[in-house]
Parts: sequence; C-alpha cells; structure tokens
Amino acid sequence: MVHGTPAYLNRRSSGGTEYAELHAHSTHSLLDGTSSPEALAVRAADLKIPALALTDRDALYGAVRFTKAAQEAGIKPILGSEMTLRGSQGEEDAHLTLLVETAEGYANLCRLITLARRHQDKGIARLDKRDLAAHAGGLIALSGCRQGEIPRLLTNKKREHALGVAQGYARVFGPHRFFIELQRHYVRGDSRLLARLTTLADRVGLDVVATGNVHYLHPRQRQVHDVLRCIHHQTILEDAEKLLCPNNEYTLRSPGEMAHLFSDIPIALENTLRVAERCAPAYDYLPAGMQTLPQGPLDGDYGANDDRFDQAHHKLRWLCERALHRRYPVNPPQTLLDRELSVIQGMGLANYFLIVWDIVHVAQRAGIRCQGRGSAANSLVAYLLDISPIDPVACDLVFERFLSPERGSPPDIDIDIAADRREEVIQYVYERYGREHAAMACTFVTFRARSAVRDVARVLGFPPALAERLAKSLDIHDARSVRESRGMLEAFDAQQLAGKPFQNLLRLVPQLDGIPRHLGIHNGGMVLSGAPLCEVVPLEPATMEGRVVTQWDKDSLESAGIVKIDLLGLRMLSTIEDAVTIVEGQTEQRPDLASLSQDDPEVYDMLCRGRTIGVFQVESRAQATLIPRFQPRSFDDLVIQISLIRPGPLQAQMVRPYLRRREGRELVSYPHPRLEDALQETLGVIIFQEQVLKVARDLAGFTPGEAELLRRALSHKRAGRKIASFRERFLDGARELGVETETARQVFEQLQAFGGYSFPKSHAAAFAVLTYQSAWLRRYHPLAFFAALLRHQPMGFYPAHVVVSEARRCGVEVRPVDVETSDLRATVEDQALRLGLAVVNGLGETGGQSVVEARSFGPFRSLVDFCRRTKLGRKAIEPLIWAGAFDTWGVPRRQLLWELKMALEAAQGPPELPIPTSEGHPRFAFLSPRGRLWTEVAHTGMSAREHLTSLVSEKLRAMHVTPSGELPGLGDGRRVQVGGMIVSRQRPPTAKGVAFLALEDEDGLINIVVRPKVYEESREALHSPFVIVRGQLQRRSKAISVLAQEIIALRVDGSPS
Amino acid sequence: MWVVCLFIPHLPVRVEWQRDPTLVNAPVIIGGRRWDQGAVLDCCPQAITAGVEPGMRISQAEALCPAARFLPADEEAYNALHRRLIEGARRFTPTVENDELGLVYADISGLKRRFDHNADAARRMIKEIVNDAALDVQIGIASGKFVAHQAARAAKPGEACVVSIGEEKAFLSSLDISTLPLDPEMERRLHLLGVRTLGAFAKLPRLAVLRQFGSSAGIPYDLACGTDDQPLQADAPPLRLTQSHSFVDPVSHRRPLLAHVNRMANDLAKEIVRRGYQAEGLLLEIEGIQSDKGIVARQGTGHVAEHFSCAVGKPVKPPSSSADRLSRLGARMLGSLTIGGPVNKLSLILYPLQSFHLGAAQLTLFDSTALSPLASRATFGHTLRETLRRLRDRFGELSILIASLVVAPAPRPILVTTDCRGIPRSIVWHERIREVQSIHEHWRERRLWWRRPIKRDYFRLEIEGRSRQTPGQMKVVFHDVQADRWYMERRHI
Repeated sequence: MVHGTPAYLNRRSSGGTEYAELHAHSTHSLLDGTSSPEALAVRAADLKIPALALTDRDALYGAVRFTKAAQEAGIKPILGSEMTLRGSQGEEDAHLTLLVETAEGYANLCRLITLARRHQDKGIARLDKRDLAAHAGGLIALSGCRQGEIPRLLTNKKREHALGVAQGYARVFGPHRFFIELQRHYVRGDSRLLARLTTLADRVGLDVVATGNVHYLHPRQRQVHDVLRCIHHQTILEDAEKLLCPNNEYTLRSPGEMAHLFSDIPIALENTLRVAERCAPAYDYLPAGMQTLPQGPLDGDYGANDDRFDQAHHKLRWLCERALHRRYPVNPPQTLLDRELSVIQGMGLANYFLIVWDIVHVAQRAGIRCQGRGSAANSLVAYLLDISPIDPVACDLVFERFLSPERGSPPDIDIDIAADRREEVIQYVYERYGREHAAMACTFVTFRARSAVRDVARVLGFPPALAERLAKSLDIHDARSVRESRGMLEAFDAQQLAGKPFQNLLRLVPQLDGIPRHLGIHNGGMVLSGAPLCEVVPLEPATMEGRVVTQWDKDSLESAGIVKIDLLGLRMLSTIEDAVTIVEGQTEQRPDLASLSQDDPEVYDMLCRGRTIGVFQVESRAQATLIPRFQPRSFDDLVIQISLIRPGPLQAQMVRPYLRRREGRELVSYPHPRLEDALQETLGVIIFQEQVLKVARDLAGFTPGEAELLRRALSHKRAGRKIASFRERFLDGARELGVETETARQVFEQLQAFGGYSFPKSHAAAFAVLTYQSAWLRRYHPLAFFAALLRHQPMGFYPAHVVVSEARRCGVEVRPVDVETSDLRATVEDQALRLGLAVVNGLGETGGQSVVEARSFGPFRSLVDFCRRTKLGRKAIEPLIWAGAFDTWGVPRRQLLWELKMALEAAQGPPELPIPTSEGHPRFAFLSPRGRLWTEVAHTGMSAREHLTSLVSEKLRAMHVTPSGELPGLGDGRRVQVGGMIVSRQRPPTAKGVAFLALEDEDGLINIVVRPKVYEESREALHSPFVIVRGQLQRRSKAISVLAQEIIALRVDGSPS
Repeated sequence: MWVVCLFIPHLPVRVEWQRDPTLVNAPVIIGGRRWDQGAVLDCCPQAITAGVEPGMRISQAEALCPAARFLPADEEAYNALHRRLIEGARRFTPTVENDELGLVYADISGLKRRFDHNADAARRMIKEIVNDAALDVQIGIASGKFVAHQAARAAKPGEACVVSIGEEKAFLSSLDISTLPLDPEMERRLHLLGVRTLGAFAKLPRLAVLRQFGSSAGIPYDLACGTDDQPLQADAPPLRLTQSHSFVDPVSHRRPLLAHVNRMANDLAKEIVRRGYQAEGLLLEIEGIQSDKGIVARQGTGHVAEHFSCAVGKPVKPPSSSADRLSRLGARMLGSLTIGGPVNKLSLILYPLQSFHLGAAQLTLFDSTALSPLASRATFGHTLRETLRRLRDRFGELSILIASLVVAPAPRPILVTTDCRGIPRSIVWHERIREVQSIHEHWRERRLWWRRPIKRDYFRLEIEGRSRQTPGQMKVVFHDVQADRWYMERRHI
C-alpha cells in the first residue's frame, strides 16, 4: 500500500474530485500521439488536473518542452516513458509504463531508453528485462495498457502466469513502486479485463491506479491518430483495422469524467494523486545549466596548478598570449583579451574553448579546411585560437554578441568544415571523448505540406501516381494552408476536390502540420559530456553508421543549458581545397589563399560585371542583380554586400536607402547624432546584428549584455511581451540620455522591423573571406575552379548544367563523360574540363567507382570487356551509353544498346569464350545532333558541348528573340522578347507577390521580374522548362532586368531519332 | 483461315449509354456505386483519361474522377448483349471464339462460297448484327485473329475494315508497338532502340530479335509481320456423359432402381476420372408406364398402359468426380422423385463436365516456415495479408470480394427505451416488452470514418425471460448514433 497522507487528499474530502494523469503520449511518441507537449500541459491545466506525466513511447524527446510548458501552466510535470519490453521466445513485445520518482530514476530511465534503443533499427526499441532489473532504482512502474504483459496474459486467460509476472515486477521495483494500471476506453472486453486486473492486484497485494493512456486531446483528433498509426506501419486505412483503436475515447479526461468512469474503483483515482505526489517534478532533476564537459587537452607547459578548472584557464590564457603577439606585433589588444578571458573564466568556459581549439587544430593538421562562423568570430580569443579567421579588432566587432554573463544561455560555436571530410572530424570527436560522452543533436523531421499530402493520400488509399501528382502540385510549404495552394486548385478541378477522399485529405493534412514524423541528425551539433551522456539525455543510434544522437533537439538542449559544438559541412570549403589542389597539380605551385591581400581590382571588376556564378554567397539571382549597382571594391564592401540580401535589412527597407547613399543620390543622415558612431560604416542604416547592440547602447544606455537580450527578443516571433518591456526600457533609457521620445520610438520601430533576421557582421566577414577566395579562384584559375565546383554539386544557387554553361562562357573547354577517361567526379584533362561519371543518372557512386577501378588495368577493349571488368548490369550501362560515355568508340549508341544483351551474356561466361560477332545484327544509325543532345540531357541533366536551349533554338530564332548578350546595348524601357531555360524561380515572401526568374540562354543569364498579375496569368507557362518572355527592359545603373508582360511556354518537340 | 472480329469497345458503357443517353457527355464508371467496395468493371474513355482503369478499386476511381457517374454493373445485360454478338456470328459459322466482353472472333473461311467478296460478307454481317444488337459493332476481317482485331479497332462504328491476304504487314506497319502483347521490359527496350511501330519491329531480323529478347519474343514478332497462325478456340457445347439402362421387365420397386443408380454413378465416376474431368451437375431421368397406383401397380391389369417420364437435376458443389458423392446424390434424387408407375428406362447424366485444372490455380500461399508452430500470430497475420495482397495482384480485387460475400446476418431493428444517459431500460423483443435486468458490458465503436462512418454504442445486457419461470436471456444490442436507431446484433460477439 502507499503510505503517507498527502495534503490534497484532505482537500478532496471536502467534496472535489481530483485526479492526476499518469499516462499520456504527445506527438513525441513519433506517430502515436497528436498533441504537442505544450498542448497537453495547457489542456491539463484547463481541466484542473494537478499533475501530468508525459510517457512517450521509449523516448524523452519532448521532456524539456513539456517541463517548461507545465511549469508555465502551473501543473506538476512528471516524466516517464512507455517502454517496450522484449517478448520472450515466441511472444510479442510488451509495454510497461515507467515514471520518474527521483533524480536517480531519471538517470536510470535515460539509461534504460538508451539500452532499449541500442543495436536496434531506427525507430525500434526493445528493452531486456535484465536491463530493467539492473536500473529500476528511483522509478515507479505501472503494468501498462492492453499491450502490457500482464493485461495481455489476463486477456488470454493465463491468470497464474500473469500472477507470476506481477510478482516478478513487484520484486524488481518493490511492492510500493509497482502498480496495476487500469484503463477504461469503452473497448469491448474492458469490464472483464478490469475485473481480472483488480482480482490479480488483490491476490498479489498491489495497488491499482487509473490512467487515461492519452493519445489525443479531443475525440476528433482520433482521425489524425489513425492516419499517423498507418504511416507508422506503412499501411492504408482499409487494411489497418487491427492497428487502429476501435473508438475515439483515448482523450485527456477531466477528473469528473474519470470519477464517473471509475466510480466502482475510487481507490484507483486516489492512488493517481499519491503516485503523482511521490514523483519529483521534472524541473528538479532535468539538467539546468552547462553540463560537465570532458577534459580538454591540457598538455604543454603553461604553469598551472593542480586544479583542473584553473589548468584549463591557464592553458587558454597561455595559448592566447602566445598568439596575441604573433597576430598583433604592434599594439596588441591586451585589455580586450583580458576582458574576454575574464568573462570566459567567470562562465567556466575555458575548457569548452580548449575542446573547440583541439578540434580545429586536429582538422587543420590533417589538411581539412575549416573555420569558425557565426557570432564566435566576435571573439578575440576565437581569433587567437585560429577558430575564426576574422580579426575582431580590425572589424570592430562586439564580443557581447557572442558571450555575455547576462545572456544566461550557453555560447554556440559553429565551425564550417570541408563537407567531404567532415565525417573524419566527427569520428575524431567520438574517439577522443568516447561514444558514452559524445553524441550529435537530433532534429525532428516534421510534416510539411508535401510530406503530409504524400503520406495522407497514401493512407487514404489514393493511387501512388495521384498522391505524387497532388504533392507536386503544391506551391506552399506549410501544411496548414494546403487548401489555399493555388497550384493544387489549378491542377485539380473543383468537382474533383469536392470528392470525399479529397475532402478527408484536405481536412487531415493541416492537422499534421508540425507533427514530428521521424528523427534526423542535426547538421552538425555535437554534445559532449564528462559524465556518461546517457544519464543526462537518452541516446539512440542514427541511421548513418557510427553516429549516435541525443533524444533532444537543439532547442531542448539549449533550454536545458547543454552546450554543443556545431561541426557543419560546407561544400565551398571542399571546392576551394580541390581547386587549390588542381592548380597545384597544374602549376606545381599551391596558392596560399590565407595570404591573399583581398583588394585585387581584377577580382572586384569581375564581380562588378555580375560574373558571379559559383562565387560563394553572391551568386544568387538577388545578389547578381544587386552587385552591378553596389560595385564592391573592397573586402568591407563584400561584408556589407553579403549582409544586404537578408530578411532583416529587406523588411526594414534599408537596402534602397543604402544603395542611394552609396551611389551619392541621397545624403547620409542619422536618426540621432548619437548613432553616428554605430551606423557610420553602413551610411546611417542598420545592416548588421551588432549594430542593434550598438544602437541600444548609444541611444538608450543599454549594457552590452542587455542589448544582446534585446536583439534576441527581437528575433523571436513570439516574444511580444518581452519586446514590450524592452521598449519601455529603451524609451526610458533614451530619455535619460536626452534623446527625444519620438526619435527613440522611430529608432525602436526600425529595430523591430529589422527583427534580427540578418547576419552578424562577424558571420558575414567569415563568409566574405570565402567569397573573396572563390572569386579569386574563378578569376585566375577558372578551369580548376569550375572543375572543383562540379565535383561538389549540388551546391549553391544554380543546377549543375548552369555551371557547365558558365564554364564554357568563361572559355573553359568542357568534355563529355567518357568511360575511357572520366573519373568519378569532374577532372582537368589537357587544359579542359572532363565531366565525371557521377553525373550519369542511374549509375551511382559505386557504379562509377567500379568503372574507374576496372580502367586502372588498361583501356576497355570492347563492350564485353567493359561488362566483364566492371561487373555492371544493364541498368547502369544503358544510361552510360545514352550519356555518350562510349561515343569515342565510334559506334552508334543504339548499336551498343542492341549489343549490350549479348555483351552481358558473354561477360558471364569464361574469358576464353569467343566474343559474339555482330553478324546478323540489325544496323542502327548514329543519332542526330538533336537526338544526342536530348539523350545526354535526359541521362545527365547537362550537355558538355551545347547549351540546353539548342533544343528550342529553332523556335527562338523563328520568334526573333533577343539574345541576352545583346541586352546591355538596348535602352531602358525598350520592349524586348527574350527566351531560354528557366534556371531559378523565386517568390520571396518579402516581395509582395512579385516573382523573380533567372532565364538562361547561350549567352548568359537574364533576370526576369514577374508582377503578381502576370504571374497568375502565366502559372502554367512558368512550370515549363523553356519560355519566351515579352516585356520591358529595365536598367538600374548597370543592373539589367526584364519586366515580364507575357510569358509563353515553349514545348520541346519530338524525341531522339 | 479467314477471321472476322466483332468488336464493341467498352460494351458495358455502351449499354449504359443506350439506356440513358444523358450519360454520353459525362464520365461513366461501371462496377459499383460511389464508396462501394468493388472494383471497376469498365469505364468510358473520359474516365480513362482521368487515370481510371478497369480492375481499380471504386474508391480509387472516385478519387481520380469524382465527377464521374458511378453505376452498378448489370452483368446480365452486358452478357446478354455479348451473347447476341456470339449468336450473330454463329449464324454464319459454327466456329466462334468468345473473348472478353464485346470481343468475338469467327472463322468465316467457308463464306466465300456464299458471298462473292469478303466486304459483302462483312456488310451483310453488320446489317444483321447491328440491327439485332442495336449497337455499332466494329468489324475487322483478315487472315488471322490479331490482324482482324486491329482491323476492327481501326474500323469505324458500324463499318468493316477488310485486310486482304498479303496486305497484313503493310496494314500493321504504322501501328504503335504497344498494340503487341509485349512484356513491359521488352517494350521499354524497343522504345530505347527507336523501334516505335510494328513496321520498324518487323524490319529487324527474326533471329536477332529472338536472341535479343528471348524465344518468347517470337510470337509478337510474327504478329508484327502479319503472321498469325493461332487457331480459333471455338466454343463447344458443354460436355456431358450419359449412362442408361433399359429394363426388359419394368421395375416397380425402388430398391433395384437404387442399385442401378449406384452402379451407373460408379461407372460414370470411373469414366470421368479416366478422362480427367469433374462433374458440375447430375441429372436423373426415368421413363416408365403410368399406373394409377403408382410404382406398386402391376402390369397385366387390362388397362391401356400410358408412358410417363420424369427427371430431376442437382448441382454438384464443388465439382467432383467422387463415386461416393455421385452415388449419394443419385440416391437422394431418386428418393425425391414421385414415380408414376413401373420403370423401364433409367438414365444418369453428368453435365457439364470440366477439366480438373479449369477454374483452379495453384499458388504457394504460405511458405512452410510461416506455418511452423514457432511462428508468432503476427508472422502468421503478416503472411496471410501478404498472400491476400498477392491474390489481389494476380487475380484482381474480385478474387477477394468473392470471399467477402459470406456475410454475417444483418442486425435486426428493435425498439428500446432508455434512461436519460442513453442506457437501455427495456427492449421490445418478440412483440413483448422485456425489462433489462442488468447491463454486463458497454462499449463503443467508432470506425471507418474515411468511408461510411460507423458510430455504435453496444450493450451486452440481460433481459427478462419469456415468463417469470424462464431464465433471463443475454443479448447484444447497439445504438446507431448517426441514425439514432437501435438494433439487435445477430453476429456472434
């Protein structure tokens, strides 16, 4: 029996009904719950439920969110999990509900979940009973739902067996910590099962406890739950009868309803309160501050004492001091360094910096390009440790944007690593600190419009082709607004959409929005811990071999104060490294990009001409339009250029004023003279995040830490209350400094519009380094640059065929795929670029590698020889033939295709078999040039020799379109007709319905501006790959675009023949 | 050989159009009403354009083409029209092959004697058949079935297309390769090779084609060349086997008749086993001399003897060749007959006979491991579901639907009085109000919300007995929440 007399039981005697829900699933039961942890907490508070236990299936995914929400809602959060126990031989797995009673119990639950997930496929958990017995301390167990071991045995009339099992659990947990769980959902057989369960509890001497096994909040959400179950089991509703609950009773019930349901067993309700009282609230044991990090490298002589904390600090100071004089031979910023180190020491982050320093140095020693990005570049310490390439003193950066005691959240250091070698660094971290102490943060892949439509359509029994057509027709991302998708409304007529299946679909899809579908791996966030990590947060294996992930995503980790290190893959770093290596191979001189002066006029001339395809951060359509007006001539210009095309500056309407002032068409002015210092470098407008801090400091007297809090509040969508309090503080502060309230109000509104959706200057500067390096490579080593760029596709803004066309326009000879010479990726061959085998669709990386390996023994003698040595099948060789990879043999492609059957058969036999002759074979002709182009495009997405618009060149000629090369010679406002291939379509939310297209013809790219009316009229044409645009030429300085008045789709006729 | 092909494309749709001309302008899907569980039997070209295919689930078709008119299949009417097509062809020749609905072949090689030219034969045939069927039949005449079918497809409704001997190849050459019975992989490869028409295919060397695509490519290749040797599989009257025995002295007692029936059944069973047949029906015919007193009357009473005959038939379900079953059935049939006098002839007929393999298909439904004692229920369930899926894939939805025809007895509407919470207090049963003595269980079912929602509140309750002396009865009743009606559940729950 449960001992003690809880206070609220006395309250209950006054007449009220109370009940605590001890078994509830949220959306974080992954496809077995429909309510978010927050919604559960709020609903429980509404129903006056004093305590709620979140018991997601084999997981604590939502623990942090739930705890926070429950605290805010004023109810007691209890954590737990519905564990899946491995069934003994021949038996099915069973459920058991575990609740955390103490901090020890929490650590044990984390460990149990980790053990259950270990060695299992993704999404599967099975806990051995032996493991359960070994880590049962501090946990309360309930016998579980109908899938529990005891209820199932009783349902199957194995009462004595059930009795033995119950006694076993009572021994493992102790009789006071094991309860028989009673549920009533108006399911057939409930009464009988309940009678058996209560009888069993009496016989064993256990207490009973009522639970709701909540899967949704409202009966109507049952449909969503059914759909989620079907998605989980990869089946359709029609076939899922046994998998679905028979009714919609699995809701969160009020205490009154529960009292009515269990009026015959009132003790079951009273016990819920007793159990709830015994369970410690989650905020008592959840991590609430930075975790104990593993010890960073402390070797070397740096004069420290024995205390490890001091040791780390001394080593950090020693490393920084050593680098300070190297980096700053004159006027070293000693004061700044001392200030930063004192903040770092005060926050106990010295060890954290050492760990990051160690990772960066190990990578650099291994020749892996890496550099810090984001706010870390504001730190002098990061610069001195080589974590960031940006000198914060020279760039006048604000350290508090990165770290301040007021902020109360851990810092976040992001490191960009060459994408192709990032895994080496990750594995180094695992090995250096051990897999018990290191894991990657997870992400929850949530339902968006397309995924929701695909899944729901499949579950409702739509044919796969129709489901796909539906998903593809969507032109929205948010599943909630699926009914408003114009694309879908156009693709399907109203009558069709009025059909019942469609109505079901349109009703259900919005309800799936934001529900986690499955787990993914965060881009690069790694969590380290000195204590075993699996006692802090459950871990589980990721699909990718060798990776372990935490059950918390980055937001939860941050909320729990757990520090992570982001090891992000950046393809541009790989591209730059490859380009440098290629140049070294060609010239025997390795360019030292780190020592480039960053003021080469040739490089800036190229950028100013808008030749930016492939150049990091400035190749996008918007940047390419801006750059001829902006005319960057220095590194600082690049930093601003990169930062301009961001939602913050765009929404705050700061881009045009900046450009006008830069062009000298508008006088530089400041909202208040006090802001001159903060905004001088950007001609009086706010462009960088740091400027928000400076403005708050200079105009309203904010401390750097306070200013950072203001910036963070501004960047959060739902921080209305916080912003309001900051506004008061801002206006008061400004008044104290003698600033007029109206001016202060206007400035604050500007800050609010700016929102913080912009780069910190430090981040932009770190990116600008790569922008300059990539531009320099493009300017002076185009062959190496484009070859390297193609090696790392997909990357950047444009598809690979645009990169190939641009390379040709830059005078680079591009050669097609060839089985005799092509490597897996693009290579440089006699001052020409040879496309790699990887571009051939259907060949795959393994297939391409086997061709390269087979060729290392000598050239291929025949198709039979090729088949025999590569061991490739028809599915891989067919696309190779069509891609023209055998064209150097001088045999028609169809002839090879015909002979492939015999070649494959002959390759199966021993080598001495005679090679079949082509006697008696039909003779096939060579494809026409158009046919060749067609098949190459169909199988590689590009053509080495010709531009893709050749497919419609006759039509373009017939319609007298103006080539893009002739546009600069035409005057502003002139009516023109241009045509080509659409290579990008954008309709940014900030553009008020205006769409932007990038059209490519053989001469280059043309920017097309499409106003909403024309966009609506031309929706169908805009989905066509080739179009003709009639419109008006617009010139803004040197930037040229065409304002579309009519868009006509061009059909590609015929097929290869 | 000279073959005529009679073709009514989308025969069921045509029948429905004829019944209701307003359907012509709307997409029509035949097979069931909207939301029925069945499969699409046929659909009009408009529905085909929307992606509907025969064999598809009705619900899928509904999703694809919600604007369509969904009609239940009137197979009797479609079959009747198809039979008329067959009968029309039979007027000219007994060699008629019955293909799918709306497609019939007839061998008219002998018609040359009756008509000067084949076109005349065609025209006459059209006139007669079209007048009879009141439908536009497309007719193709050629030297083989394939060419005749293609000719019929090419013909306009109500007209004939005649392909003369020697012109087959030229006629076929422009047709798309998809008209040939090709497996999808072969069709894909021919497309890649640029072979898009039958003419291009026929130009390839035969040996090279066989080597490239395997020996099974020979048939489509020959068809593309216009060579079609496949004979017509003419419909034959159903097989029947008869054994008779004439009595020299008419028999008046049932026992010797029974002995003869048994013997004949045994002999017939042996015979059909030897031939590899099974019987689907058994017919017993008796001839005798009418007597006023029936079978016990004796001859030689001076009356003028009148002859009588009687017969009885029974289906053999499932078809069988078992001597025991046939004997037992024969004996039962004999017992059921009222015999008017002494019997002088007894005949036992097995009809129609079908080969053992007809209507049966052998499938490996379960592998042996799935049925092992160690296999869990989940494994078994999975195997069963997989098997059903394969059956559906192979034989279409209808193969599963046949199984679902065996349905539980439908619930019976009843009257119930409830308390304010909706709990039954009394029910009307056998025209008497019975008080509910106790409610043993209450459960709720909310299912099939995506199709036809079922919302039922079930009660397992005990009602008072017929009289005070008789014990109470346990019943399961449910409240249909949507219709607000009460029913007595008659399934075993």
